[in-house]
Amino acid sequence: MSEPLRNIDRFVFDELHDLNEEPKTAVWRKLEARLDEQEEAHHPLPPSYAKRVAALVLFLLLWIVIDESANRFHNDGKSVAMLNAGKTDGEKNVTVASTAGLEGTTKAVTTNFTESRRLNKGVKGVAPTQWQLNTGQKLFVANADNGINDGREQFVFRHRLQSRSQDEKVPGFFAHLTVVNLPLQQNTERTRTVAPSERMANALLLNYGYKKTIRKAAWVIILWQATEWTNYHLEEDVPDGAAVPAAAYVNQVQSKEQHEPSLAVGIKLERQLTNDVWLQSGLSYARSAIAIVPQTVIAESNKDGSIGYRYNTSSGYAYIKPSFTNPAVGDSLLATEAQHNLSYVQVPVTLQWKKDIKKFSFSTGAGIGVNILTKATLETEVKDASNKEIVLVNRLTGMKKMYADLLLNAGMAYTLNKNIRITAGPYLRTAVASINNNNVVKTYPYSFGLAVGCSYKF
Amino acid sequence: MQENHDLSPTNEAALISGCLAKDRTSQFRLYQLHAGDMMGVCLRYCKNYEEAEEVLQEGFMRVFTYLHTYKREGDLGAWVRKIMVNCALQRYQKQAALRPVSALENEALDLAVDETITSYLNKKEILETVQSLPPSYRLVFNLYVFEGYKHREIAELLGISEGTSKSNLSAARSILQAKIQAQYQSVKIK
Repeated sequence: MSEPLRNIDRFVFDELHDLNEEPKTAVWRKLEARLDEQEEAHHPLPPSYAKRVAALVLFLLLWIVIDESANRFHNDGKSVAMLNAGKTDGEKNVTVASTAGLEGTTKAVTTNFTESRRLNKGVKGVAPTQWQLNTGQKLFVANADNGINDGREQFVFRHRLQSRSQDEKVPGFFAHLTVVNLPLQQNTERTRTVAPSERMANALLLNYGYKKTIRKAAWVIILWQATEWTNYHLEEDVPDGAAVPAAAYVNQVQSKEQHEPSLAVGIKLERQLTNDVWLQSGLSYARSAIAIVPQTVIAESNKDGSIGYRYNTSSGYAYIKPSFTNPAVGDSLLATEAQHNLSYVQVPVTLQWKKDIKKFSFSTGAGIGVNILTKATLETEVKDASNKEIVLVNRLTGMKKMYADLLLNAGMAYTLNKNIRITAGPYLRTAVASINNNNVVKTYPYSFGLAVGCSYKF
Repeated sequence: MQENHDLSPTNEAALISGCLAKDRTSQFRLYQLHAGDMMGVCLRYCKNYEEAEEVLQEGFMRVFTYLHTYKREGDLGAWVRKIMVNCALQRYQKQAALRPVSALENEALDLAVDETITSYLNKKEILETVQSLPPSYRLVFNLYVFEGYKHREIAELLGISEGTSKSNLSAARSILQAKIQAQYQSVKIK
């Protein structure tokens, strides 16, 4: 005897809708292990990460400036009178004149070196040096304490080594030095008061020294531009109560968007840390474009209670309200091809390793960058059976104001002259945090760029 | 052993707070409350027990990871179930098992089953019949019959056309009816 027939759907539903099956114990153990791993894993960057990076960049730049200043000799303004001809026997000797008319508190003591003989006597605490001082060099002297407690004031001066035969390189900062060759007077010490003027004086050199730690750090400024190819990695961002599961949003976004090549321009500043290592930072501007295929948009209720057609993109979303319709929740509209543009300003900080081989220079570097959103726009046309309207959205909801990325680069430069080089090379940027929040997907962009530029060293 | 799923609002709130604080005891309690039902859901979506366990595990990982997005306005069990279904769908999408079938536009047939079958077949056998369906048919059948999605929504979820969704459902019904009838006949003979 057959019972009344039932629909197959109803039959299967009645049998299986309340199916309850306790899983094996091993399932919870594996789950627990994964939860433990997750808790030990890297935590998302704190929201203030970008601000901290910016503060670090500022600190580094400030440190460089201060370090540069500290490395310079302090000129106390009491520059020694220039030693010019005076009483000299040509270019080799000068006779100390009288001190009449000289003022000031600066004192000088003769040095015990000759014009031509190499001396290895140095100031205590300072490496011994050898100099050949030529006529015509100007000497600027500043008071400095060399730490020697011998009752003498020491002068520390900077000059440019003029020697032809001496091989020692002296880090110098003054471009013009006039020093008169001094007489050979072994172990002679005299003191003179030197006037802070530029007339001929009797000031003689003390034992002198230089800060061996001083390095002549170079700076380079680079102007560049690049073509970038961008793509992104999408992750689900499960919105609570979503009508459509998160996986569908990832599919939708990926299948409807296509990145177009974009342009980036910028300026970089490099500072030499060691012979081969440079610290680089700068500012750049990048603008990317994404083409979106036509799609149907559905009207939803906004957080403020108004109703608009929700347009989802990989970056953020917007509610479109064309003038020709007053939608109800669930209504749909066709949006034709859309153009989605993003503009960012980037502040990178990288360490560069460089190697010069003849006229070429090869470099590679790595670092981090902070990307600050300046513009996010969406332009499309919506239409129904009898109306159409172009819509321009200037702000997308869900986008973060800034995000951080990792930077890798390599490059080659060709030297035109001692200051100018032509540069080129590829780079890679990949986001370490998503560019959005509370969107239908989490978006992690990555870009490959080819840059060309021009650098100037000073 | 079935857990008592009835939690007072206060207890549920405390449980959720404990889970958000990464308290393992609270997480285990939440798991215990819903694992049985969710395993039933996973068994319907997957082709065998092992796969269902993997989906269950992945689903609960997401529950604990995204619990902070649960706004405590609806039923927690329904929220957990939604995540579990998403996991099952994503698994098959990754496996590219959803090969589209030719889009037939005819409506699904109202296929009937003799109710006397229920006295001969148990849940396990009916479940195995559902599990034996091709993945694309099985997913559409589950989404339509158990989750109550419309074909437009299923099409958007699975990246197929509405017509394909309808024809997959129709095919699933035909296969289920044929198999259940065949099983019934073989059991009846015995």
